[in-house]
Amino acid sequence: MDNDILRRRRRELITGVIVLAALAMLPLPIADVYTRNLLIITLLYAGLAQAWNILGGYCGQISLGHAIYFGVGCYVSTLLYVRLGIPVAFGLFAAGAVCGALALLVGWPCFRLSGHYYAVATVVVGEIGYLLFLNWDFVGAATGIYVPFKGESWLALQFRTQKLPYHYAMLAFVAATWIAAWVIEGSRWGFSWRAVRDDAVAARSLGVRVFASKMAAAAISGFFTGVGGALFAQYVGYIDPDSVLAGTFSILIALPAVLGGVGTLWGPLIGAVVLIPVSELSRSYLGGSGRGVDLMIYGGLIVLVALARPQGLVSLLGLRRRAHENAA
Amino acid sequence: MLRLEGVAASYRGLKALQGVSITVARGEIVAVVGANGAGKSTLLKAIAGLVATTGAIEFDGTPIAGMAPHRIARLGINLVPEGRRLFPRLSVQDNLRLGAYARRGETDRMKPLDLVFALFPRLSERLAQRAETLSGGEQQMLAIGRALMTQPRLLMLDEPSQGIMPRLVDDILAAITRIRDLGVTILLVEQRLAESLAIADRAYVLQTGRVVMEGRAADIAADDGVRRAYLGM
Repeated sequence: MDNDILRRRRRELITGVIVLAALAMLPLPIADVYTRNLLIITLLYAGLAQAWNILGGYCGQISLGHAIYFGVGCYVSTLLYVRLGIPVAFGLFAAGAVCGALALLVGWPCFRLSGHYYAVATVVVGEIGYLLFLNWDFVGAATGIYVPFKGESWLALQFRTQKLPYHYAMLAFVAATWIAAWVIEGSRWGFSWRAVRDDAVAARSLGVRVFASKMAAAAISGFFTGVGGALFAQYVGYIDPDSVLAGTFSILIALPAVLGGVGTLWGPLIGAVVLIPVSELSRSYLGGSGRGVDLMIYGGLIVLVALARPQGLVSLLGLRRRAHENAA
Repeated sequence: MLRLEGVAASYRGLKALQGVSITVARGEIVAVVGANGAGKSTLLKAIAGLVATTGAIEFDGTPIAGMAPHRIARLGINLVPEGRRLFPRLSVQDNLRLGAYARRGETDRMKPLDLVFALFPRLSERLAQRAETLSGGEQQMLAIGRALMTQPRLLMLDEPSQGIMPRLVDDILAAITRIRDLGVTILLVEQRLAESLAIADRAYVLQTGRVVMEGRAADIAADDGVRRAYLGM
C-alpha cells in the first residue's frame, strides 16, 4: 500500500519537472509581446490559484478574500523598494511573511466559523482591506504607488523592454507553489487537512488539531499569495487599491482552482491555462462592444464545466488513467 | 481504566447528562443502552472531549475532563462516531492512514493494518475506492478499522449497527468481540438491546441523562421490567 503511493508520487514529481521544462521553453519561439504577456499572467494566476488551493482545496476552507493577501503582498514589497530601496528579491519574502502573519490574524476569528459562514467572513475581510488602503495616505491611498525604474536588474526584477525575465520569475513562483502542494499532499499535514475538509468532527476524534490545521494551511496559502502579489507589482510597475485589492481579485484567484479541480495538484495550473487565455482573448476580441459578450462566454464556460465535470477539468485526465489501469 | 464521577453536560441549557458515574475496567465490553435522547451519544462525546462537561473523568488515573480532544485521542481513547463519519472523498487506504497518523512519529504505525484486514477482509479488496462508494456495512467496517489504526486502548462505538443490513450486524458485533479479545477495552452504545447485551459483560441503562440501572449484561437482558420501563419494548 505504501509502495503504490510512493510510485505515484514519484511519477507526479517527474511529470512536474517535465511540465516545468516545457513551460520554460514555451516563450522562446514566441516573439510577440502580447502573447508573452498572456503567458506571464497565466503563470501568475496558476501560482495564485495553487496558493489558494492549499487552503481552499486541501483544507477545504473556501476563502473569498484572498485579494487582501495579494494586495498586501504588492504593497509590502513595493513600499520596501520605494521607501527603503530593498529590491523585490528580498521584498517578496517580506511580503510573504507579512501575508502569512495576516492570514493567521484573519484566521483567528474567522476559523471559529465554518462552511459558508467562513466564506462570507472572508469576503468581508477582503472588503475591509480594500477600503483601508483606499483611504490610507501612507500607502498612496486611492492614487496608488508608482514603482520607479532604477535600471535593469534581476534583484529588483526590473527590465525595460524584455518580458522573458518576468516569465521565469512567474515560472519560479508556479514551481514553488506546486512543490509546496506536492510536499503537503504526501505529508502527515496534508492528510490531516483533507480530514478536516471532509469531516472535522471525525478528524478531531482521530486526534487531528482542527483549528491549528486550518491556521497552518491559511498561513502557507497567505505566504504564497503575498509572494505572487510582490512579483505582480514589480511586473506592472504601478499599484492602486482598485487594481490589486478589489473583490473581483478574490474570485479570479479562486476560479482557476475551482475550474481545474479543487484539492488536486494539477487543477490550478490546468484551470489557469484554460481560463486566463479565454478570458483575455474574449476580452480583446469581443469586449469593448459594451455588451459584455466576453463575460457571457467566460461565465458560460464555467457553468459548462461545473455541470459536466464538477470535479474540475483535471478529472478528465483521471478518466483516461482509470481506463488504462483497468485494462492493465 | 475509565472512571466517570458525577459527570454533567448540557446543550444550551438542555441537560443531556446529569450526575453520571460509570466505570469501565480493562478488557471489558461495557454496553450503554437507553431510549433515543437518553444521552448515550453525549456520554461518549463527553469522554472524547467533544462536549464541555462538569464532573470528573479519569483515564488510567489521568484526569481528562476539559482536555483537548486531540490529546485525549493520543492517550489511547478512540471514538467511532455515530453515522461513521468517514472522510468520503478519501480512499479507503487514506482513511486508514489517517487513523495511523494519530500515532505521532512511530515507525510501525501501519502495523495494525494486518489486524484490520484479518477482521474485515472486504476492506483489503477496496483499498483504492473512495470511502463514499462503500456500502453501509463496509463503511462501518472502515470506521472501526480506522479507529483500530490509532491502536486505541479504549474503543468507543456509537451505534455501530445503524443503517446496516441485519446479516452484517452480526459480523460487526462478532468483530467487536474479537477486538476485545485482542486486549482493547470497549464501550459500546447501541439501540439494539438484545444483540449488544449478548456480547457485553456489563451494562448501564441511561434515561434522560441519568444512569437508572447498572449491572451484569445478562441480568439486565433478563429483566423484563427494564425493557418495559426504560426502553419502551
